[in-house]
Amino acid sequence: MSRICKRKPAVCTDEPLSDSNICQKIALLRNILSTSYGPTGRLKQIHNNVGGHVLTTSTSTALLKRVDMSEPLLKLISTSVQHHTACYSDCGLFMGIFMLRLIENTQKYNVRTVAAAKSYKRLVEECNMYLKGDSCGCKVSVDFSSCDSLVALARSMITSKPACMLNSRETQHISSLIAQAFLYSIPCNSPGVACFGRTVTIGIEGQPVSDSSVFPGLLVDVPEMLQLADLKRLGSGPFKVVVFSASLSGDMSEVGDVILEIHRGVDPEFDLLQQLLKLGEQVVKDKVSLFACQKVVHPVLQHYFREHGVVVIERLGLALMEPFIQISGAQAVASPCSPVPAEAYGLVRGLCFQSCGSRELLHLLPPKDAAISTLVLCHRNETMLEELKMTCQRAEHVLRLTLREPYALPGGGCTETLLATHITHMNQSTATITAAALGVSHSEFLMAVKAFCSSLHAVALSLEHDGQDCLIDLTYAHRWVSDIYPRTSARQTCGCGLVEDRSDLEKTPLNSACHTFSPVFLENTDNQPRILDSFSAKLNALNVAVEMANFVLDVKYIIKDIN
Amino acid sequence: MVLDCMCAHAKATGDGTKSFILLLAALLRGIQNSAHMHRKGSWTGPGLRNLANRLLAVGRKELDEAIIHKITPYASLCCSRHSYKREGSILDLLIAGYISGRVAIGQAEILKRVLCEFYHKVSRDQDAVETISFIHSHFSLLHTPVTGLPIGSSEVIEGLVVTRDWSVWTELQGPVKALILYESFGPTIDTAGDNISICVQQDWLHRTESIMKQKLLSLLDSQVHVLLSSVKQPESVVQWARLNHIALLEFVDSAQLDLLSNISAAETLSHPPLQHLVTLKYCRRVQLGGHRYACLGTVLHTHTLVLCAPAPGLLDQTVCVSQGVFAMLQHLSRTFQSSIPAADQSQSTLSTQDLWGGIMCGGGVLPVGGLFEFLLHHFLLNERNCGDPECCRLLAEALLCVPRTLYSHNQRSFLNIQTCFLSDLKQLDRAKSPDLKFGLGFSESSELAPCLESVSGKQQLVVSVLQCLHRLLCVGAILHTRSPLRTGPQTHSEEDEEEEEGMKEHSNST
Repeated sequence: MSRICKRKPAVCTDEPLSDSNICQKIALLRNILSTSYGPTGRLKQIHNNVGGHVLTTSTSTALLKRVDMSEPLLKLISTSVQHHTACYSDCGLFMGIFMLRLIENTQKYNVRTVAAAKSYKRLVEECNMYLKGDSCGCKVSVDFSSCDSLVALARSMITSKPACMLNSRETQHISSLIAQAFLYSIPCNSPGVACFGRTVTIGIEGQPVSDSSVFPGLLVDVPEMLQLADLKRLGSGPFKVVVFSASLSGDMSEVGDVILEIHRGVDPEFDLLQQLLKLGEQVVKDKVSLFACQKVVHPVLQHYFREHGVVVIERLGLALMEPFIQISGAQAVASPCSPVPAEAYGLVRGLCFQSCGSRELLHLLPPKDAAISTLVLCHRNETMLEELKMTCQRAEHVLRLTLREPYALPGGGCTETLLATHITHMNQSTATITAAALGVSHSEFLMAVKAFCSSLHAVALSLEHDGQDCLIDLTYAHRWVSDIYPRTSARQTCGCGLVEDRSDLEKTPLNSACHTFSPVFLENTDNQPRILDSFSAKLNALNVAVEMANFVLDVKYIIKDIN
Repeated sequence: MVLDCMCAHAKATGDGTKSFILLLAALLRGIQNSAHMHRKGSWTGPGLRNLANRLLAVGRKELDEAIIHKITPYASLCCSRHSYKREGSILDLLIAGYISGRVAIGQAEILKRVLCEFYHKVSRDQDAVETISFIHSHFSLLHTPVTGLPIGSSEVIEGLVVTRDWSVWTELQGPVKALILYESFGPTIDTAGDNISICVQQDWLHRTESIMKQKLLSLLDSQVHVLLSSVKQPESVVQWARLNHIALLEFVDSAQLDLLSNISAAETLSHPPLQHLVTLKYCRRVQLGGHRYACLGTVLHTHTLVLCAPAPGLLDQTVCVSQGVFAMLQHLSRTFQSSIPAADQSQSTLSTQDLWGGIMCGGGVLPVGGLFEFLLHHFLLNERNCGDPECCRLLAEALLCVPRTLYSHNQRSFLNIQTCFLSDLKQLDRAKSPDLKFGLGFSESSELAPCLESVSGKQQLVVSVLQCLHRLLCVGAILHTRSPLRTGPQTHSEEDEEEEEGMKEHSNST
């Protein structure tokens, strides 16, 4: 007889945000996120209590994926950040810090939930309008005629991930590789609707980062028993290629776990092998030089091919099938039982060995228009390599986003200070009208503006971890760090590098009160921002953060089933 | 049992679950109080049953009277007074009335806009009642949820979105023929169960291949360019599709395929079972929130509602609310349709304008904010011809709990609104063309017309609650059994029984 357990009643929490325990946890999460923010962010090590893998990271994706949240509200906040980064690959920490600060500031300034929600909605719309508008002094157009802004975007992403452990020279190297890989993945002169190519990433552990490089085409492990002499014997390309997605192992495993009833005189294994050899004959007759298979190839067939000077790549794996098909223009053959159709053959321009650090790889050179490249990343140990691989993939995605919206935003906290200044200034004179239109009181609206802008400032402040003061200039509204040891060689610039310091540039600490002003748009400058953030990612993060903050503030009751 | 009743009510009207509990509780409280006042003791079993029957009778008779003679005229007057001159805006206001309070403040406006757009794009001069019923019954297939984006990114896109990417994709121009498949093209051996044996004969390799070849060749003959399959197809089919420039989409939800073949008037092929041939206007790929999905353009201009939210939990809420909107509209439009005379119904179709205009003029909608409850309360107490004053009073008093809860944050505002309503009503009795302030009275901040709610939904709510109360009061005793009951499709869990028992004791103690 089954025992019936009495169901426990659900745990209810009234006004969760006034619970000090929950507030403490929110503050802790915000602290974790803001201490990880930026190039000098502190790394986090994540262990579990039974030993095993230790993760060192400062990225929101890796952090939030592995940290279990105990509170339903925090869980919701965490998943929303993860879903944002899944779509945009960047600005996860920005979103998290801004959202949590907004929640905390609303509590701190004691703004009514309804008034806060209405005001924040309005303010974020103003931000959208400002950032999307033509007169936005803060947006930078991505110039596709040179790769400077692409490299700057990639570099900003890498520098903000300190767990990659790169020095400035290595950072420069990797960012140009990412830009290069991105450019390789854009198909040129293909008619009709263009489709992105692909970048295959290979990680090699224990090599210096400077050994990393990017190759057009595909790099695969060198097949067993393939010698340099074999390649020489092949001569020069292009080579005819065939690729199989079906197993050519010659056993009947594909049929599944069934009883086989075999007629007398029939030997299925033998039949299959004969079929494979017949296939081999056809392939050799059709002058194929490279024979690839996703799965295993029967040893006898391999031997047959070697005798006829055909290079065999087996166990290509599902992940490499698509790039292989794209690079060669071949079509995957699904069955060994029928002859290979003529349209299924493809071409590669050449084959050569490529030694990357300790590993020897076979390089398949693509025909001119294939948008496939291989990024070989080297790093000193596994953890750093893992972080570097993830960062590079994300950075490439961010570069792709620029094709949809060809803009970038100044990084280094300057966008946040600019936005905050703009919002404060905009709402200085019109607060009464706006508040009336929203149906909130004037003072409430002003408080909400203050909470919103100081949350933006808080993000800019989170970039600094070494106790230096964050400043804002009162002309352009960019963010500055007071230099304790002024460098003599270079003139100091603002966080993003757009504005150069002048003696008459008035600055004030970021979190102090100052008069409102409209930020001056810096025109006619030769300076290019050194640090750029993704426009699409930041815009989405801003919107989603406000929406989530409004939602969390609106939660009046939590019912938690503990059965 | 109460939950069952409530869910049945919510399923029918898509609205009023919270009011259901409030009203039921208020009625039970009212019954308890009346026992204290009149008899000092508690209701006896037969007495309770009698009361339950009488209440139900009041619900049947007086409610209809009230709706016809009081609420409907008031509602149509109210609507003609206010600025709902454009019939199109009725739908907006109904949706707004439903959404507000169900999603966060900033999101209601966006969601309302998208839902209205969706309705108008799907309807396109077709019968409005049918459109709503179509959206309502196929909602799960007509929307695509996307996480990671703000709710403001929600949109309506043309075509039917399938949340899968094409297995084989080729650029296709113009209308194309598509074949809908529910089975694999390959040899099907895994369907028969565990005890299968395969007979391996001479030429077995070629035989299986050639059967498939023949099937595929017949496809090429019928000019099919797109394959839509609910199951995975063998690799050789994928290869064949690639070679012959045929787009292939696998793992499509079979319900979605059914819908597609229904709306595109599919031609069912006779020879292989379960295959349909449809004509598609176009095939596309769409990128939604980091996923690549397939989009199928049907001849009938199907549209898909793309609902976005930052996190899955919020998304569920948005989806539920959107689905509820169409349940509510369906209830409203069905009630309206059955109320118009049969002669009118013979007219071919009911356009969007006709439907919403008709509902408005016919007094099918009222401003939100407890107006229905005030009106019904007033009618039940003040009309002389009521046959059962005790029950009328019970129901009337209980009804007020809904607006009272609505303005629970401020008791004064409840009283203000009630006074305002009563003075309006007096004016209405005195003059022929009164200046009705009510409805605008409590949205002082905005000059907009107030949101609307459906009268029929409210009526159904009262009926459902009275039916539930009747069932509850008629329970004589509860027997606990150790084995699960298998009398009908609904089995009561132990928890429900305990709850029922609690209710019983509660009403017995009165």
